[in-house]
Amino acid sequence: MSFLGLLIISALRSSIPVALAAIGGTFSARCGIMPMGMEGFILIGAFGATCGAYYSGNPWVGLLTGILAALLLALLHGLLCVRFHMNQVICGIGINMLASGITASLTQIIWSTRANSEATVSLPRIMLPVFGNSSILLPATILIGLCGWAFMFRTPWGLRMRIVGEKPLAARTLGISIVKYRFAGEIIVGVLCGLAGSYLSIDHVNRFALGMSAGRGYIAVAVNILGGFNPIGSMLGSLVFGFAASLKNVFTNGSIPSQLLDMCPYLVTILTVTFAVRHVRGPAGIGDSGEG
Amino acid sequence: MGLLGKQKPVYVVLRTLVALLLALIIGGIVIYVAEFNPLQAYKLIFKGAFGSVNAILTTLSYATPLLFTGLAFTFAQRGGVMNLGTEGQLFVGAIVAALIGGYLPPLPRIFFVPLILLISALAAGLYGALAACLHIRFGANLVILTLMCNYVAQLFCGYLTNGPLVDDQGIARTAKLPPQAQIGKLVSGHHLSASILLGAALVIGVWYLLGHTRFGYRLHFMGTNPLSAETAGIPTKKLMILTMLLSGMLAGLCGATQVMGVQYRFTDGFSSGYGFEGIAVSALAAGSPVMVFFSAVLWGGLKSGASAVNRIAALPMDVISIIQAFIVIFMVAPELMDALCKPIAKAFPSHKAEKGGADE
Repeated sequence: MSFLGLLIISALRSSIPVALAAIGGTFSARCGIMPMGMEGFILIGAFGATCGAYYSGNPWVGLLTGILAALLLALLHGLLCVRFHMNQVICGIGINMLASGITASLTQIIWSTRANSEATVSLPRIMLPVFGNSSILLPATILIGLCGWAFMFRTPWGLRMRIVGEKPLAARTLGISIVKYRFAGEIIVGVLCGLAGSYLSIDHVNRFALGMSAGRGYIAVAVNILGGFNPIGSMLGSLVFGFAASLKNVFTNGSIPSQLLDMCPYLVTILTVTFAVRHVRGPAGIGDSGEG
Repeated sequence: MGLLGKQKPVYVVLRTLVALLLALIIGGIVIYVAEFNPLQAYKLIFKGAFGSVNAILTTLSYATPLLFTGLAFTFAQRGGVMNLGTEGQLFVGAIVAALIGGYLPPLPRIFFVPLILLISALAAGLYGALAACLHIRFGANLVILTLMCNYVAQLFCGYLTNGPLVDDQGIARTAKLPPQAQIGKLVSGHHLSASILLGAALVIGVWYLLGHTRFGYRLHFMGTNPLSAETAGIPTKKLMILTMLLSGMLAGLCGATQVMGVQYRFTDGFSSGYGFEGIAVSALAAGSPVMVFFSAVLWGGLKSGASAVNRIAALPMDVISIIQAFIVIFMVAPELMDALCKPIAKAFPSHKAEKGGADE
């Protein structure tokens, strides 16, 4: 395969988890919850998927348990941020610490090493017309992004969701339940981060590794801003990071040290949030409980 | 500070103890899942942490890095700045200390040690201030910036130790520091570094700076209400950069003292996540610099006790991260704790509350 083709395929692969999380993140952010906990949701989703696949031997069960695990953590995040008005950034950091603690402990308890799990089954692959042999989550991601956009900008529920995030007090005056819509946002971000985590552990590779989310949740928050809090924008924005992350898979001959290649996605994130998103304004109601 | 609300101090202390107890119970559940007796495990952890003079010294050595990062986070938090970049800043401090100490011709120890500490802290502080500058100049999200800076610093240090600085045996570490660049041991016969004295002095320094100076007042003002601070003529932008600089310096000292007092060289992955553990230290201390000391000793005790237990049984050390995560959650969500403590607050009116606290 040509160099460019390899780069594009690899970039698409690397951007799938970031895209899924970022699409989920747009829903959370649009309802007024800054999705800082995505890093933890992805991590626990990856772990849940590995466990499900390992014990059942069926990757689809793994996908389901991965989604469930991330969903549970997202609901905890929602409970703390929506019901108890916790500082959203600290809450996200706490959730991420919790996810890394739980996954590392349980990996050690189940597989008696904290570094990684044993190999397990992975999701089947499909043949696509343009992309060739690819992950089943690639078309799913594109579909989710398009449906997400349609839901957010073309349905009354999407409009209400955006009102809750933009001006909670106005939403409350209109009789829109802030709590209900914010929990809906948390459920969406939980499910999509669960998919992202499952992609990492039972699709991209076939095992769980310590800290395998590697900052993708935080990058997804940046992608969210870059994409203008829009599902399609997030999907396209994640490609930038996909390219940065895939450089590692292209320059495999050792001419550039691997640590420097690993730095690329993080450096690109710093550059984008600094220089590329000056015109993007986040939902005004982030962090506002709408009760004041 | 505002993290704990405005309740009576006794109730706040009680609530903190309940938070700690709940977090320990949740940790106990995980220990139970790992097929250990939680009570037995906690007893062994406590014995391993505080059971003898030697154990206490080990606990203090575990507490030292947490003291610096806990202070760094507390300091920035006072100004309403969330410094989530302590992990990256401490890597910068550590690598700079290792480079100066290990590769430059040594000066007499009395000049060399303070000089290295100062330069490495400054480097780390500038790394933190850089993020604040980008935030102020370009409106970039500070949380994302600082978190990304963590990865960049860690990977760059990994590149340096694996690439240009790799030693003759192919191990990813810098050259050993000469004796002139080493911080000595506090007592003979134990590995506890004297840098804990620096940490303790900084606790007092930060306490004084935050509570008794004009700078501390301005910082507090900015932290509680940035808009009115701006209106009152406080240069909040400059103050924010200064806050990140000083907070980064504190975090940098964590890395520098680990290199100069414990490892005597920079090894890749020397930090077990001290930066994020500092958030838990700060959360348990509820924003008070003096309490940071005790909070750091407590977390240090949990870590040293758990590693002592780990030597005889494969207790998952990461249980401590779970306990820390719950402390962060419980302490920063006072409304949650108020809801959980409602029966306790009723059962123990404020004058009896101390008794309830003593039962823990």
